[in-house]
Amino acid sequence: MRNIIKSAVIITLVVLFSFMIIFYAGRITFPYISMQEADRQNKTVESVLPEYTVSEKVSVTLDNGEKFSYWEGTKTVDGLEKKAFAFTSVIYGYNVDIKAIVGVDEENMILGISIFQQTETPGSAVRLIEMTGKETTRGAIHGKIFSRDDVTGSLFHEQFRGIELDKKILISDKGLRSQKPDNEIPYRNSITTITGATMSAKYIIDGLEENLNKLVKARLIHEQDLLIKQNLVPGQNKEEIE
Amino acid sequence: MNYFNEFKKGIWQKNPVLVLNLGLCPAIAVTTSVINSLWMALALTFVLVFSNMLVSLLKNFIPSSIRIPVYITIIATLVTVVELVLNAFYPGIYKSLGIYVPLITVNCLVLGRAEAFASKNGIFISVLDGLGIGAGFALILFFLGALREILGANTFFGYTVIKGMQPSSMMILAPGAFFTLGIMLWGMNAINSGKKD
Repeated sequence: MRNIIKSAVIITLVVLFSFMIIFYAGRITFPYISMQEADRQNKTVESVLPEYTVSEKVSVTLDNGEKFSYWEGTKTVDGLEKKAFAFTSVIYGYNVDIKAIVGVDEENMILGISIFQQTETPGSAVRLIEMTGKETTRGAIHGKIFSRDDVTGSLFHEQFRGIELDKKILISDKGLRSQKPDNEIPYRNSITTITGATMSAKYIIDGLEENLNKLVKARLIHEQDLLIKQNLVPGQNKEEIE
Repeated sequence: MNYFNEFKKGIWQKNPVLVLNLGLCPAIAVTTSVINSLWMALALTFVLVFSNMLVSLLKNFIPSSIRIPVYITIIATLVTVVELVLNAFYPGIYKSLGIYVPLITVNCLVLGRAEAFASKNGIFISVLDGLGIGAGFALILFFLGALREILGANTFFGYTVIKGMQPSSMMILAPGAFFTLGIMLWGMNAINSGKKD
């Protein structure tokens, strides 16, 4: 009995000591890690909104109390200002958590998608990045093996470009990527999945549809807020708001 | 006790990769470039030295029935610190090494030295053992990384070696690591068996 208590006390002390060390190491490194995370996120946003100047991050509280953030990008075409939006789509699926940043234009057509974080059991969504990223034999042969960060140009991601989120996204071919011409894919508003990651692709589509609805609501709320601030809504003025 | 011998044995006589055949997983996986190899070796040496030191320091207080969980806790703590530091200050290296940094926790080399050496010896000698084994590991990873980077990417520390040379991509891939390590193991065994004769 004495031995059991002694062992319990010792292991508790060791764990407490370990916890303290990790806590302090975490506290020192946290600001640097957060900074890099933000930097990576900004780069990802820029990559999913090609040709657009990303101006601001908008945070809105939706009707159900949920906070939703999106980025706004602008560009000028023939003297007219065009807007595009990027939002984070977090999907919690069966053994799968996938975080993606998606860029859409004003007509809700996907301009770019980047799956930049995923945790899951081996053999599922990791394939979305592994199989199509540059960490593959194909990538190595093309001499890009050292580029671990850049997964935005992968085949799986590329096929989302041009997909209209207002319409239903279909999964046209299961298994390996279809050999059909790339320009057919946006026309059919469908994507092809990857063997072993079919469910993950479905989760991504579900996440896109769900988060697009949030984006639409958030944009409306934000635009209304702007109008109120600019004193353009009848019956309300700046003083009342303040 | 000859302290220098304790350090030296890890480099040749008890080289972790070529003689003890431990730590083969990172030796194969991360040696796609010299920089990766050296950072991996540095991370493992740090964990090895401090885990040896702490295990040696605590050896008289730890009941034998819970020694392995305690060693693992110590090693995991050190690995977490290494991971956080790499992530915060060297994010590129952290990404390149990937899963192999957390996997140091379950590396037989670290746990093996804690159990086989540090738990039976004094602090100073255990630290020297950690340094020696770490140096031996670093040496092999350096040669493996250098060979693979030169032949597989025609670069050394990122600089082009021979302009216009077409590198063999296979050397960067897993088979290249197996071939190179196999030849190194064969060479080491040949030398050691020659010595015995």
